[in-house]
Amino acid sequence: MTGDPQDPPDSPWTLSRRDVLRIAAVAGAATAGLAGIEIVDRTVVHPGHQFTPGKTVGAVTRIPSMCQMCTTACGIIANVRDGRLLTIEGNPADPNSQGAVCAKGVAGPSILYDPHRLLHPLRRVGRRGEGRWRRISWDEAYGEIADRLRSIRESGRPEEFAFQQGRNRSTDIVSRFLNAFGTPSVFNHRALCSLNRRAAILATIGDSDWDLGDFEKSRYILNFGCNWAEAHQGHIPVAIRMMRARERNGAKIVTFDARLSNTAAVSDEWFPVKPGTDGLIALAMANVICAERLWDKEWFDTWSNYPADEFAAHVRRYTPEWAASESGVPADDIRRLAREFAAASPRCTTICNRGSHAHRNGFYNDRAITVLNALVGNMGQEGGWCWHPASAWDTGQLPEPRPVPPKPTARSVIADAKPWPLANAWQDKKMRVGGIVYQWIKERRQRVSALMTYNCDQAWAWPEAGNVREVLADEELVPFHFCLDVAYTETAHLADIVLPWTTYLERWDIDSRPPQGLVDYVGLRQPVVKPLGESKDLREIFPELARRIGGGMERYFPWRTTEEYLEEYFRPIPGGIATMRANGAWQDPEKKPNYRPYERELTSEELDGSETEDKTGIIYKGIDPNSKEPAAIGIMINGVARRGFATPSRKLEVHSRFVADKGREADRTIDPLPVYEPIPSHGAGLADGQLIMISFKWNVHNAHRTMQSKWLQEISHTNPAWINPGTAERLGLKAGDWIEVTSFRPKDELVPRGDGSELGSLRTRVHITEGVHPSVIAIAHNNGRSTGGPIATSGRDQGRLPGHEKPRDKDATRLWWAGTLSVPQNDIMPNYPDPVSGQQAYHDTIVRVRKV
Amino acid sequence: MHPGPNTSDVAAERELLLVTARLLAKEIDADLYRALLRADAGTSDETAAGGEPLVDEEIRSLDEPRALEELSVEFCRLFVGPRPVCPPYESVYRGEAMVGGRAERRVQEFLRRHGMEAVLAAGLPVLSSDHLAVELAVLAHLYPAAEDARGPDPRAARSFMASHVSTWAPAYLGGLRDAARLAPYRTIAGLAARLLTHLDRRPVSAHAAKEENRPVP
Repeated sequence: MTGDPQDPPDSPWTLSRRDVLRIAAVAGAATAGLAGIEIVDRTVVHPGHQFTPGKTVGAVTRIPSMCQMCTTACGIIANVRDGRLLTIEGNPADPNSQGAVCAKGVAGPSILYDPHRLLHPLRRVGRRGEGRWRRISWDEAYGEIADRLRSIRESGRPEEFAFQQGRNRSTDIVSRFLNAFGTPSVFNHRALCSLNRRAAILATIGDSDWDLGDFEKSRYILNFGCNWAEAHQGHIPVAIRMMRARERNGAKIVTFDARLSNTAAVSDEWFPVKPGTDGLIALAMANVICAERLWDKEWFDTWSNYPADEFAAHVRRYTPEWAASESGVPADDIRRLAREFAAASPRCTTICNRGSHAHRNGFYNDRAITVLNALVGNMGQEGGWCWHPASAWDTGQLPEPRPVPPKPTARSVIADAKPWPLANAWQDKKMRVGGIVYQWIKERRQRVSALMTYNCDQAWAWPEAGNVREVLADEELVPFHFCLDVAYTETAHLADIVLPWTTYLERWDIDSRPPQGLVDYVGLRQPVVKPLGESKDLREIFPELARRIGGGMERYFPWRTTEEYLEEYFRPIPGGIATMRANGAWQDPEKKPNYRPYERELTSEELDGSETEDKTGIIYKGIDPNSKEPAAIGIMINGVARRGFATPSRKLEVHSRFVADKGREADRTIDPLPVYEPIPSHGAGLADGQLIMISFKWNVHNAHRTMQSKWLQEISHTNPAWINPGTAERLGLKAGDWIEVTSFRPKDELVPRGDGSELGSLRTRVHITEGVHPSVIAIAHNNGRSTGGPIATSGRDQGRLPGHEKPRDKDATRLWWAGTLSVPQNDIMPNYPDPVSGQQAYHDTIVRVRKV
Repeated sequence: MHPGPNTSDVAAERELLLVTARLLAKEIDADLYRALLRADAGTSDETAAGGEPLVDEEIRSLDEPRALEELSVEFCRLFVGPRPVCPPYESVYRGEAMVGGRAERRVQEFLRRHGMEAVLAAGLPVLSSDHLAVELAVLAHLYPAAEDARGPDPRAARSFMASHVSTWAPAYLGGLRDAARLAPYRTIAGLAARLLTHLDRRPVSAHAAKEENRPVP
């Protein structure tokens, strides 16, 4: 053969005779059907007739749906032209987000069209983790998975099939499949998220596990470490209402946080606090409110199960001075804020998700904060601390289409997590202890014959992620692992079969979130474009697997299509699924906000056949199917039969015998009252070079998949360590210095492996800022990906061809952050479950910092 | 003005475009693998003279299922991923953050303007029409028209070459040749890179030049 790209332009070139012969020999086999690509001639369309570059071709179709870039599930409208998604904007018809959408939401197209997406089923070749794959058909994937699962199910040990979910917004179909299969081994990430908050609220009010401050009508909001402007579960719906409260009510927002988050920055006042002292601040404020009789004593004595005077005696020891010495917030400020908060009642409230509760003492912190609200009588009041019984849509109004499989009867040692008494203490609120799953698999406490990972990157996102990777790589501990995700992750890398998942823009869901407006609603997530490549959703995969596994599973999936299933689901709504497809959301106009639900008088029909206990005034009717005890339905208040709270006492439980009893059952002491329990390893003061490491999340990132987005990575892609100037001076550090951060397991006998031993190190640079407490080193955790392509990894994982000439497109040069610092904090985050609940203590890790 | 290549050259070049498109579009199946083996065997004398094989000795030594699996792994590594080494999309090559970006829209526009459509079979790992397999198939479809009057629009191939293929495919195929670990991909990418480079440099024949200057009706 002659000819080369370096040949002179006018040099003759032809294929050599040998190459002509060889190509001709191959061409017949190669081009039979041309590999499935056929170029066909159609009617010529002249330029300008129907297609003009740069202008719109036909109408842009606007399709309402729901976001899933994070967990908030805001309503969106997708602008689609010629089958391609152009842009995303907010859907004004969504009752929660009301037309607002965040930076993550508008970045949806960059996830949908990510060139590093998984788009074909893959089967590993060679040993697990070697990174060698071959493309397989869905039929082959279904066949192997179904054979494995059928074998487990027929063995009579269905719990050996474990399901690890990350962000699951398809709860109906997931439960349907797993219940039909019969496995209880469902591992969620609740303990790595909101467990303590939920447990504290359930213990106190019983009605709900989620507070919904009525921010829009509020005049005063105390924020205990919650980053609602950036990363909260209710992010946009909360943020728009907070901003309206400021504009319309002149509301004041005060934030306690170890770090100057963007939420703290938009607050009226920010107080940097030592981690783990939020509850003490709340108790000290309660002390001031009681001492100065700023309370709503009548409400407290009427509706709580603990007399106000006794509570005043309980909080007397929590002086502002003690709180100041522990937290760093001046005592005078604590007094002032307590007075301001009480003065604003009932239009005052608190918010604290993922701040105060993500500590070793987080359950007590959130108990103290919740009860602070009760003390000023704002519970369920307009502008006060509110809640809604439904965390999603009204399942009474929109029941799950039948047949519905029963819940599994098999038990899972890991899911039950018995040593943590509050993790699974409440019926239908199973929270699991995600952090211990892989350690317990390693310790062989429960056999796992097959693991399915769904939208989760536990090998990167979990505390002690290196331990997770070790377990997933071990083919003896986890003999079969299949993974369904949009992107190739550290976890997918350790799978046997990787299945390409549709993005939220290519699939269906019935969905909604706790209603910030206190009236429940329901939303529809619908495909705005056809699935790319061979990607599929669970709603197609699970019915097919059920049919192939057989054994009766298939009868729970009688619908031919997802659309047919959802038609049945949405039938009770006026206009049915057509209404949902047109609007994206629906809210019953007859429903009213859930204010003071405890005051509702019981009807004569409800009271018919009931009995009232003289001593307590609790009204019972029938038998509780779970506890087999008489079922409480209300309480007599001043001679009137009212609904009360869904707690054992039917009152707001300042004193919870329930949690104390649960603790005793597990040989753990749980104080029935809100108390301050210092973090064991923080109490004695920090040694030289030691700091408390906390974790945080930027407003443009969520889980692993947002790091696939070029648009979002461009905004935030690095994670230096935030250190206070005073601390930096003490440690001899200047801005930009490299440091080694070495973490230690907690020295805590109630924590697994709580021996204070060294866990691991990372190297990062120093960002010196007044925006962090002097005892703290703050590192963002949305970094340090090692796989997923150059965008996700800041250029470390080079999916692009080495030696490519410099692209002509300007967009290519905008990977300007390639090679920047990006370190995986989760690798050095110890497993640190709160001994009473299992909640991961994300903000309590002791580290040693050394200049390198 | 130079004369164009002779008819047999044109046919061979077109076949090379189609073979390259085939290799990029999906895994090598048993029929194609056997054809590759036969092609090497049938030209063994000339292979010995220094040419590159179509199947490496290490692959040839495996039984057929194992050989096909190794070739499938290489296909996945190069084109499908995870983390494809050589994503065969013009949009991606040009550095766009998304597949099917502006380059795809321009390919679609070209096809529409010239009355063509790329019809893809189900299950192909080809996401959009700026995939190099599609572009090469389009070029092969138009190829004779570039050199003689037997096609629907003799200017189309030159235009497609200039606006799409030449801008990235020779460099991409050169990179593929360097990155590929197994012979079919390495050898065919090398041949195709040279072909496209020379097609881009080849002077326009008198007839084609005349046709190129013909106004659009």
